[in-house]
Amino acid sequence: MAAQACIKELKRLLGDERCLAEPGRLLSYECDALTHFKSMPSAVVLPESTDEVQQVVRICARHEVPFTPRGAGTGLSGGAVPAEGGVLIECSRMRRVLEVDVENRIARVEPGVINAHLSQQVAEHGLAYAPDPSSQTVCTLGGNVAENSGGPHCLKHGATTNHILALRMVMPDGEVVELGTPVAGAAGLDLRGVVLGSEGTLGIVTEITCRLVPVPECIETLLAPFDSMGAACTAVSRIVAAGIIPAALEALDERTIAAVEASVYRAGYPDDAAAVILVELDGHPARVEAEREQIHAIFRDMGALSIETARDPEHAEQLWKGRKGAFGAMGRLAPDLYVQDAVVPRSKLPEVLPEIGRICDGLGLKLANVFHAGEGNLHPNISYDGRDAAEVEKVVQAGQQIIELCLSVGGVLSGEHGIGLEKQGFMKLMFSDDDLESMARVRAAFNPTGILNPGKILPTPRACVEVKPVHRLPGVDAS
Amino acid sequence: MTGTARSPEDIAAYLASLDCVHCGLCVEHCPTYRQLGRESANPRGRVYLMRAVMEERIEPTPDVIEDLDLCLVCRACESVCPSGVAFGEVMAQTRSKLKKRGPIRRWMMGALLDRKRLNRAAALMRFWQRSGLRVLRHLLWGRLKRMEAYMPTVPHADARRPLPRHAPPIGETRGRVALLEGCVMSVLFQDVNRDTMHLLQAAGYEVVVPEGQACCGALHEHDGDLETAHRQLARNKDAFAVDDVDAIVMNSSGCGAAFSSADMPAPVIDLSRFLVDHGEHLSFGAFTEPVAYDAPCHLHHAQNETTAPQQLLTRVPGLQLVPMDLWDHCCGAAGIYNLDHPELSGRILDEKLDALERSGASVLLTGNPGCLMQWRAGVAKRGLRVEVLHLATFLAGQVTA
Ligand SMILES: Cc1cc2nc3c(=O)[nH]c(=O)nc-3n(C[C@H](O)[C@H](O)[C@H](O)COP(=O)(O)OP(=O)(O)OC[C@H]3O[C@@H](n4cnc5c(N)ncnc54)[C@H](O)[C@@H]3O)c2cc1C
Ligand code: SF4
Ligand code: SF4
Repeated sequence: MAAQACIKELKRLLGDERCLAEPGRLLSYECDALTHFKSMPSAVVLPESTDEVQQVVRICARHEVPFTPRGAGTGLSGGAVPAEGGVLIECSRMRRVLEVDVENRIARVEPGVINAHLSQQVAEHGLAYAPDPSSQTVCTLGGNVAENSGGPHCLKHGATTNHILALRMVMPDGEVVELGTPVAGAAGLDLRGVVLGSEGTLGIVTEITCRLVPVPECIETLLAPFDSMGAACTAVSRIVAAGIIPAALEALDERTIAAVEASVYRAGYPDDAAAVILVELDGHPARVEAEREQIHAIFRDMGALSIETARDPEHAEQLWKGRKGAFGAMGRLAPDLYVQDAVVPRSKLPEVLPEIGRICDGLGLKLANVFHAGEGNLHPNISYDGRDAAEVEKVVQAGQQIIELCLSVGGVLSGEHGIGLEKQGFMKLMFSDDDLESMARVRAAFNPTGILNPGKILPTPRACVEVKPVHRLPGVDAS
Repeated sequence: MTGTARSPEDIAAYLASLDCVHCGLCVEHCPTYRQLGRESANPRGRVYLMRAVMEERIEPTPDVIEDLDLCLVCRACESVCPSGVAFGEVMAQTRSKLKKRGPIRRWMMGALLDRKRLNRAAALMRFWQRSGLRVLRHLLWGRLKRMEAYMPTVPHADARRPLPRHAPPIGETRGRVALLEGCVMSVLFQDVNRDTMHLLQAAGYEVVVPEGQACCGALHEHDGDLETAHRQLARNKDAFAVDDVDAIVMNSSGCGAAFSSADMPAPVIDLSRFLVDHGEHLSFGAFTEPVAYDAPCHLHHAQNETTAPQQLLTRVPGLQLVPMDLWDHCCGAAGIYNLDHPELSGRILDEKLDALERSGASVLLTGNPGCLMQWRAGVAKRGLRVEVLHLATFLAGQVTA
């Protein structure tokens, strides 16, 4: 078998510790953070350099075994799920910060560097890496590049693509290419830009050169509870309409607040509110002050129950930790969690949110909302039990109905979690056949044989990965 | 664990495993994952595999057993898990099913339960260390060889003698507390016990060391021997049911975690927390060298006591507490992990030693016998000029009233 011969060569290259082919070890890689798509690799490799990635890719290509890159596996659309029997290239051991150029505010890192670690490492120079996905304490920059990830603070500072200057990448045939330049303003086609958000389907990124930003002079974090989500959302639209772009503008609903407050990330959010808005202002102190006054006026006008300002940086951090731990905290509600990710025009939030509530109520599903309100990027979280096949089916239905709803008001399929395996079926709802054909051609220019991360993003006639629910504890009945 | 009826503990462990939503927020906090980088060596992967074994989706193959065994049970993952997965509980239950214990291991774990046997072993070890016999150490093998290398100098029999059963308060009486001598503590670190006693007396407390107390069983639990662990806790529950005790004060975080998990007859409090809350009358002499604090996992993660030691240190005039990276990560001692998995334990310690060197501290404080041994062995091997002390020893040396 091709796979067996391939594994033998990979083992010879990397040894047992860095080439895994044992049944349990492989099983742990069958899914990412969206657990309902599962598929088993035949081997997982953990290279430590561009050179090793290149050799791995050449071996796989020679044996025609498909391969998929993986970072921390926090992806929420199945992007890092291996092709059945394929090889998974895990970047967790490529975690060196190669260079920090303080003067030019640039860092060059390996793809397995953890998002938050980069900011920690450059903090002594008064710098930070701006995009901050809620998973930032664990997700990798390679994964961020591949998903073009966002985060609460991307409202003002922009998503990952705005911060990546250059990439080194191993192509599916093993060739190593450099895309973009460390100096902003490149000439020619922006191939770097094409790779951002390509979900590991165009090449394996092995080095990332990114921008660092100065830590703002003044930061202020505000928390405002409301007695209805509608009022909270209207307040959000009014803030943006007033010309203010806060660093972050987030919303959490009642159920999310309760889950966070029951967890280790307890933030002290008020427990009697139907929604809370979390706002962060940063920049010059005078400007922050002016914006704060405007926001206070809007909040009061919209009937905020109170307006609290973080006392000190520790308090602000606590407020943010609650927000960032929210997804996991919802694990308290049921064994599994499905997070939908779609964008609607901000002004439509007050009408779309109740409609999503009705969809879930209609299917008897438990919904919680926590989202990047400033960008209209919704994250309806549906708690369910993956062991219940009927419930899984309902979750899939709800996902589809929510997407259809968001598209019908002029929204977008995904805000930041990507298409992966999950949403390829929906691509046709948003794009014409011509659009999809163009995308397929771009992909083919990089990845002509489709050996790299097959079955992702673009609709395929038969996806080899399926939703596999139902596991239970043998010897015990259903409850 | 195939085809058998499920005990209530099995079901509880299974339900706890379902709390994991695979969000991954724990993975970077796992010391074994930081070294190995593979999913099955991180908490999310381990819960996934334990669940799969319980569901009989997979057999507990050797790779599964190895990666579960490589878990330090440091419980750092619990401190960051938003979903509240009781990782330690699931792991203890799984280990009790899967772990095989050979004769040397059974002898070693058994020795901990019997003060006389432990003392005989200590005497033998001391003889070995002091006579010229150590030249023969190349003849030892495996775990025995590693234990020999890592064992601190065993103190003289005099220094190992039991603590007095009662010690009066110094000055005005504020209350009465009970102390556990422990197994390893009592033979290798009786000085720490004496220092603890002294601090409590100086704080105005009468200290009692109840008769009939025994090893807390934490190491056995760690090893998956839940039966022994439960038995030891039950024995101690009886032993500590003495009159008028305000608190049971712990100076070993492993034992503290075990005691706090049981329903003991009096509140179980770590020495650091006790002195923060009740030692306001203590005063300390100045200390000006840079000091680092390394949090013992079973204090920081298992008992969630994350601030008391540092707070106490601010009371020492002039003391400069320097930040140390990874201060809340396991040092690799983890019960007898360093004997079972010397290679990985050494890698974990190396990263910590790098952090210690970067911190510039000349004194490192911690609060658990295993950590003391691990750190001392590492510091000696690297030839660093850093003194590794138990918090109690350091404070007892500084206390003026
Ligand atoms: C609790 C939680 C909160 C989250 N919050 C946010 C959020 O606020 N904003 C947001 O945008 N996302 C968020 N996400 C989603 C996820 O964290 C991001 O998509 C993240 O960028 C994935 O990084 P990763 O390292 O885990 O990548 P993985 O999940 O391992 O992989 C993701 C994709 O990247 C590809 N890939 C990985 N490494 C490479 C490489 N070296 N070269 C090429 N391709 C590669 C994979 O093939 C896959 O397609 C969240 C997820 C969780 C679980
Ligand atoms: S943090 Fe908790 S819920 Fe999230 S993966 Fe780890 S154990 Fe599971
Ligand atoms: S207990 Fe420690 S070693 Fe074990 S999985 Fe959790 S963090 Fe990792």
